[in-house]
Amino acid sequence: MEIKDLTGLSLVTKKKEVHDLMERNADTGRFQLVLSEKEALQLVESKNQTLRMYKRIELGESILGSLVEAFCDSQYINQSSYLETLTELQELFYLYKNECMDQISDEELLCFMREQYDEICCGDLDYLGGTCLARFAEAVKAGWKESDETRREKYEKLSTEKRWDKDVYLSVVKELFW
Amino acid sequence: MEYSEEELLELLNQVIHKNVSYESTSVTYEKAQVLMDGILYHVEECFTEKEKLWTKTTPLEVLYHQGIEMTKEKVYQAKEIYLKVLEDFQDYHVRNYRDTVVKGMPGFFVRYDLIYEPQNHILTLDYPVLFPTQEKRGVDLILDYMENIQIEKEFLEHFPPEAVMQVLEETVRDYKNNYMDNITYAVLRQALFCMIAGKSVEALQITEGDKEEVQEFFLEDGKEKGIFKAVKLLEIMEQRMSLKEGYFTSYAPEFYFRLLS
Repeated sequence: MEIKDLTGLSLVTKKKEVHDLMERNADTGRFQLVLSEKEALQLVESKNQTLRMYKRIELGESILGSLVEAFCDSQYINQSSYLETLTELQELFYLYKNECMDQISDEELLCFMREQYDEICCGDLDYLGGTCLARFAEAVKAGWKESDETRREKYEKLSTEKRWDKDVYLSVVKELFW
Repeated sequence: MEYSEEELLELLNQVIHKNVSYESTSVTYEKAQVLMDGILYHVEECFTEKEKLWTKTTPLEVLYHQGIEMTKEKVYQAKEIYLKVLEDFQDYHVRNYRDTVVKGMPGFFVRYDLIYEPQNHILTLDYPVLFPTQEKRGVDLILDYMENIQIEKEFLEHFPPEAVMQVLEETVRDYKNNYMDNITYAVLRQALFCMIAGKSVEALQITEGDKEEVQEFFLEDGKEKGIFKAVKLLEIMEQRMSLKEGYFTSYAPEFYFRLLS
């Protein structure tokens, strides 16, 4: 039997996935982020399309719940772009699960994505996908068996931008105004 | 035995989760295919047993776990045979034989993924046995292979090592590095030539004149009669040497055609 014969099937129905996402609104509502039923269905369908595109199969629990939970309290997400952002995030998630050759758990990848999204990318998904995650994937492939610390070191070695921090900011302000 | 796609999906889901230690909600198609092939390999193990261990209502999961136990048992059997083969193992200085059996085989026992990828026998088994078992996979292939190696080793032990090496020397130049064929075939052929020429089989020595006698023995025979003669000779050899009945005689057709070519 070929696995492609099973890719149309799932142990979790679309209806249940949508229902589970709607239930998350109770928590995300605190941050003024809610998905309508129509939006939840769109998100589930996007996710399924992404899975097919990246040739992955998900038989049970969906990643969408964890994705919502990981990003709902980000200052860079608002209601108007909530669906669009989640759609892009799940695409990036599956792309980089493949790029990291499944050497990293869902939780670790989501954790990294959230951290970079807020602290480095300031909500810029293109930057997250094109730079941070690309480097992260290289670091994972190079040093998965090693500790988190080593992986971070390898990530930093691949980093070429000067990061904004307080000292950099002050020195630029001084140059401009003094 | 029929089972529903839902039953298979449910089992696949469980296996995937265990395989990824519950750390991923998705896997690649490729990974899922490998895991599903592994499930089917174990389930099919239950069908190969002579005793019926299942009924039409046996759940797929039960068959799967039963199959794992049967696969495990085969690994133990293969290892037992392997250790026995290693006792007094004579490689006749044939590198391919030594590299495959002595150096290569431990890799199977170390790296074989019995639970998740039982269909992958890992090794290329470069040294060919008399009867290659290409249709089989996983431990089934390895077990078959080791059983054959054991039978052939027992055959070869009927001859002095020097005599075997002499035969190989006459077959291929620098046989130690270049002999890639099955050793038993070369020795078997020589032993049969000795039988036909009325020479001592154990010595494995024939002259040019003896070779002519062998050619005449098969010269006017059609294919059927030629194979029949080969079968009879091999039967006699099996009986005299107390070899595994039927193992060498079933090689008769191939032996006959290789003899003519």
